Amino acid sequence: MAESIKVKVSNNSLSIDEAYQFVASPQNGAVNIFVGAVRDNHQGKEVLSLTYDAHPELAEEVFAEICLEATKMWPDIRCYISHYIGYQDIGGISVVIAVGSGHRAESYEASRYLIEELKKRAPIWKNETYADKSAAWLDGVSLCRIG
Amino acid sequence: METQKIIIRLFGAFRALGSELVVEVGEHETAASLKKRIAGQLNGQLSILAEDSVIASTKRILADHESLEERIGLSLLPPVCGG
Repeated sequence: MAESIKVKVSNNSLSIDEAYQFVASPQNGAVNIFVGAVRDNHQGKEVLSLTYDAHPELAEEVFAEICLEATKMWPDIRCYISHYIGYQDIGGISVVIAVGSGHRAESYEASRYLIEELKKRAPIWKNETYADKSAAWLDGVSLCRIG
Repeated sequence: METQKIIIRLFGAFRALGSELVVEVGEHETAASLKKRIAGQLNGQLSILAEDSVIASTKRILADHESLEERIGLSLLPPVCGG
């Protein structure tokens, strides 16, 4: 993996500081950090918690691939992606994406690219638990077009 | 025709079946034919979901037409929703 890229899937709490430290550098005048968190509602239903499932090896491969694509589109950026797996309460951090770049435009654009591609391509799934104690796996994006 | 039992790792909604599924496959198998066999072993919504899923190794998603060279570490991946 390129020295400017760090990715991981983890069942430990994610660290925003770790993301910042990785992408910050003397050459970078901008750091953009995106944090995804568990919200308490989905399509009108009250959500109590969320459990993330992932294919960890493949998810990290996909993260690295997406980051590599971003570094080709926005040269000289530094990219960081970490995604949580396991049980998470409301407000818990599910994903941290950070991009360091010379100027702000690249970090905003690359950060948006990373999260949008992650949502479409990374083998990760969400199981929501609702106030009535029922639970459901959320619908997602089919990977059939990628294969 | 010789057949072989292989283990498929399960994720997401397929976890309802456990963490793995044993599938009997033939000598000349593709990702698409494996998916069809898996769908045939399942019922209702999970069978429909299997049709909309992909077969993957630990490194990449296999194209439907690809033959199963490597038969260890294969997974069935339903539609994804990370983030």
